[in-house]
Amino acid sequence: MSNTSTPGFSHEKVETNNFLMIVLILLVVAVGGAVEIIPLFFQKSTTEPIAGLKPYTALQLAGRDIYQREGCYNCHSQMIRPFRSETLRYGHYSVAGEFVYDHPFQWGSKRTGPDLQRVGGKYSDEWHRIHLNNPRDVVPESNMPAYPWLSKNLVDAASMPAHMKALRIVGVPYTDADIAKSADEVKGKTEQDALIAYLQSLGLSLK
Amino acid sequence: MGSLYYLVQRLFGQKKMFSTRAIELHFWISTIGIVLYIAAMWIAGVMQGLMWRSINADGTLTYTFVESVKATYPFYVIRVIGGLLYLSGMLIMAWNTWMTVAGGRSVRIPVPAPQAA
Repeated sequence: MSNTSTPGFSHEKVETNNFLMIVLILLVVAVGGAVEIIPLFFQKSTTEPIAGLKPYTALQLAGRDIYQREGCYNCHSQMIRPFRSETLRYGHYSVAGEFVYDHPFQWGSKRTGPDLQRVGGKYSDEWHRIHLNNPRDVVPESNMPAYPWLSKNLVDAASMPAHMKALRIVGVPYTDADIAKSADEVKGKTEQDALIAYLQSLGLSLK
Repeated sequence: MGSLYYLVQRLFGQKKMFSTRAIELHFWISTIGIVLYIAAMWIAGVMQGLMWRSINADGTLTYTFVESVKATYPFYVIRVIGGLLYLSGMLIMAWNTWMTVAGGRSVRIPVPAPQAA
């Protein structure tokens, strides 16, 4: 052991004091993280919607809730990576401006099933109906579970206005008129109708 | 789990677990199970990645998505086998713990009545 410890603030002091070391490490990580993250809050490419991006309609929004409730994101990503094989398979790679009205976004990373970011318009509504009731009827090799109850349950229409108001607070440009008519728009629709409306809206703004 | 095997016997006042051979069996079943699980998922993941990115000479994709799903099925079966082995190891442990705890019941000791002073 050396007795020549330098007075004042030295490297040795940091290395021999656990608590000081923890505090300083946290400080370094916090500054590093902040420098990486905070600029993204102010960059146009991440905060502004791309041209043609519309907020979800009430029915699509209800479908998005079903998508989250059933855990679709556990097997389906909504994030096309900028690789040749992915853009060939799914279409244009994802850009940040497509997700500004998504709270929270459904990027995901588990790809047991195919990416759904540009599934909108790829299949007919009828195809989706059959597929959701029993995927094996249209894709024999599929290992996706069947969701037959979606065609029986009705969408919870009463909760839509409150839902859209909350989204407006975090920046989705819904008008008072949008909110006022939202409950009527989804009234009598099944959860399957809503989910299909949501799926058919995905990724249309950038083809 | 090793630490649990170490602790359980002491917690319940035993010199050793009910069956030491069952501990060894648990160890080997778990090892084989987890190796099957990991190897299956490892190979399947690399295979899926290679299938997704595979491109023909004319610039088209070689496989549809569902072909990669189909090719993964055998590995899912291996994963189930691995998972079941691992689970059965845990059941062996549960049985062993139960038998150990049951052998270590507390004994009632009569408390002498207080003597009048």
